[in-house]
Amino acid sequence: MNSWDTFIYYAAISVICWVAGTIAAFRQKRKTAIVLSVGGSLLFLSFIAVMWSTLGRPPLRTMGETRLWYTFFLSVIGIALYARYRYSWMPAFSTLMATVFICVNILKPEIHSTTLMPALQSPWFVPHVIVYMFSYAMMGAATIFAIYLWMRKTPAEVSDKEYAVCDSLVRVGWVFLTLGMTMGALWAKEAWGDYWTWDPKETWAFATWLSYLLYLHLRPANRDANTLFALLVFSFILLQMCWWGINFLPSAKGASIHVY
Amino acid sequence: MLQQYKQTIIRCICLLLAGAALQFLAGPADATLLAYPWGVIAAVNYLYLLIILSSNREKWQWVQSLYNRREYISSIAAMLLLTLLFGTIRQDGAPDGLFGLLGFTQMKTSWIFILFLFNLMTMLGLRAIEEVRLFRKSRLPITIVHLSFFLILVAAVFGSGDKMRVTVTAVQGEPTDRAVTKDGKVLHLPFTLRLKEFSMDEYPPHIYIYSGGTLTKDYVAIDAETRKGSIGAWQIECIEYIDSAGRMPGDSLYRPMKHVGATTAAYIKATDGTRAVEGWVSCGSHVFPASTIALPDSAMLVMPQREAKRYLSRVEIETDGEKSDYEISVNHPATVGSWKIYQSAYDRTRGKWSTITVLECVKDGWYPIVETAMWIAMAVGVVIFIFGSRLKRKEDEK
Ligand code: HEM
Repeated sequence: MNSWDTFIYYAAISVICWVAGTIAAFRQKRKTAIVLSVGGSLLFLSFIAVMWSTLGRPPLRTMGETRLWYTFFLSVIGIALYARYRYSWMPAFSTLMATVFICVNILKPEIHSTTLMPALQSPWFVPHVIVYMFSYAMMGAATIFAIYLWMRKTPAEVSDKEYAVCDSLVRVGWVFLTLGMTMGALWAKEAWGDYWTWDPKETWAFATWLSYLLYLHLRPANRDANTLFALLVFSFILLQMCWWGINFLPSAKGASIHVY
Repeated sequence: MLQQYKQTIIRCICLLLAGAALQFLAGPADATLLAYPWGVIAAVNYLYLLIILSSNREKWQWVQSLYNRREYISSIAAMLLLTLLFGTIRQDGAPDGLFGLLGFTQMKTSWIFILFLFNLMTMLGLRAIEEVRLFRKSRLPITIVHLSFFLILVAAVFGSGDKMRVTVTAVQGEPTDRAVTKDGKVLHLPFTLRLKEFSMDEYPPHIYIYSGGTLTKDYVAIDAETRKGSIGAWQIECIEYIDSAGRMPGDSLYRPMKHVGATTAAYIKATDGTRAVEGWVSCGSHVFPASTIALPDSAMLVMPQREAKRYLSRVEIETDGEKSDYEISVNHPATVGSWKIYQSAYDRTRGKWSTITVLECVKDGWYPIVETAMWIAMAVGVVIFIFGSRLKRKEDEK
C-alpha cells in the first residue's frame, strides 16, 4: 500500500553493501571499502527520496521517518571518518548502528500518518530536522569513538590526535545542535509567537546542548579521560531523552506539543 | 581538589540561598517588574556594571577571581543541573513539597533558576567583553559566538517583562479590538480587526475500522487517485465519493451539496472474503450526523473528522483610520506595527464552516535583538563548521 513495504529490500541491499565495505576496510582495501559503503548510503538515500515523493511531504515527521535520516547520516559519517582518518573499525561501528536502526524501523515502523499538521508546514521544517539528525549522528559517532578510546588500553594513553578527532566530532555536532535549536527558535516565533517557551522538548534540548558545551569548555584544560568520556556518554544519554525519551517521561505527558 | 573549588562552591551555595530566600519572601519571580521602561533601564545599568567590573579586574581581587576557569565551568554545570531538574520535575506549579517550596515546579519563575541563569549570563558577558578588549583575530569565531549568545540572554532576560500575548476572538463581519490576556483580563488593542472570511483546506478523508473503543492503526485514504485499500482482513473499495455532500431528512443516500454544513461522504463496499457489507460513511458536520457501516463482531467502518491541512483567516485591520487586508494562517502571521498576529484556533464544532476565528496578538519589542543575534550565531556556526573554532594561526596553538 505504501512505500514502507519496499523498505526491507532497500535496507537489506544497503546493509549488504555496508558490511562488504566494512570487510574491505579491515582488509586494508580502502578504495573498495569507500565505494561499497557510499553505494549503500546512496541506495538508502534513494529510498528516502522515494518516500518523500510518495508521501507528498518530507519524511521527517514520525520517529520512523527521522530514523531513516539518522541511519543515512550515520553511514555517511562512518565512511567520511574512515576516509579521512583511516580508522578501519569506524565503518564496522557505523554499519552496526545503522543496522540496529534499520531493524528498529522494520519491527516498529511508527508510520501511521501521511498528514502534516499546519504548524509543521514551514520552510523551517526540513532544515530544522535534518540538521538535528546530522548532529545526532555526529554525536553518535563521537560517543562510539569515546567509548572505544575509553575501553581500549589504559585510558591515559589517549593521544593528542585521538582527542583532536573526538573534539572535532563534538564541535561539529554541537554547531549543528546550535543551528537546529536556533532554527527551531526562529520557526517557533513564526508559528506560535514565541521563540522559546520551555516546552519539555526544548528544555531537554537545552540541557543536551549545555552538556556538550560543558565538554567543549572542559577540554582545553583537561585530559582526564574518565571525566571527559563519562561526560560524553552522559550527554548522549541526554540527547536520547530529548529525541525520544520524553515521549515516555511522566513530567512531559500532556505538557509538550512535541510528544507524538 | 576541594580546596581549589572552595570559592566556586561557596558562590553556588550563596546563589542557592539567595534564590531560596527570594522565593520565600517575594514569591515566584514576576516578569512584569521588568515591563517598559524598567527592563531597558536595568539592562543598560547591567551592561555598564559589567564594563566597569571588567575594566577594573586587575584592581579588584574578587572580580579577578571570576575569570577563573573553574568559575565559568561551574556556571555552565550548575545551569545544566537545574535544566535537568526543570525537565524532570513536572511543571504544574504545585506549591507543596521541597521542589514546590523552591519554586522548581514552575521553574521559569523560580528565583534559583533565574539567579543561576543570571550567573551564567554574567560570566559569559565578562568573557565576551574581555575577548573584545583583548581582541585576537584567530579567536574571532569564538568571540562572536560568545557575544551573540550574551546578547540573546540579555534580551531574553531583561525583555521578559515586555512580552505581551493576548487572544482575540473575531466573529465574521464584526469589528473588534477586544483582547483577553491569559489570566482573563480584557484589553483594547490599538487596532480593530474584522474577520472577512475563514476558510480551511482539509486532507483527504481516512476510513478506519473502529472496534473495542479504538481505531485501527491502518486506514484507507480516499482521494481523487486512490479508492481502494485494505485494513486487516477487510478489502475496502470506495464506489462513490462526494467531497461536499448532504443528506436530506429521511433520505438514505447522500447527494452533492455546496452549502454551509456540508460534509464528506463515501459509498463503501467492504469484504473480508466471506462476508460483504456496503453503505455510506460520512464524518458528519454540525448539521449532518455522521454515518458508519456496521461490520460483524460489533466493529464498524468510520470516517473521523478530516484533518485540517491549512486554515486561513482573511481579516481587515484598521489602524488610525487606515484599513488594510491581511491573510493570516499558521506559520504566516501578519505584522501590524509592533504587533504580530497569529492564527490560533477556530470553532471546532463547525470545522471548515466556522464563522469565528481565534487570533493571538503578540508584542515583543526585544525580539529584533534576539533575532539578529540568532542569525549571527547561525552564520558563525557555519564558519566554525567549515574552518574550526580557531582560525588557523600557528602562534596561537597551545
Ligand atoms: C559562561 C561563560 C563562558 C565562558 C567564560 C567561556 C569561555 C570560553 C573560553 C575561555 C573558551 C576557549 C577560547 C579559546 O580557546 O580561545 C571558549 C570556547 C568556546 N565557547 Fe565559551 N565560554 C562561556 C560560555 C559559552 C557559551 C554560553 C557558549 C555558547 C553559545 C560558548 C561557546 C563557545 C565555543 C563554541 C567555544 C569554542 C570551543 C571549541 O571549539 O573548542 N561559550 N569559551
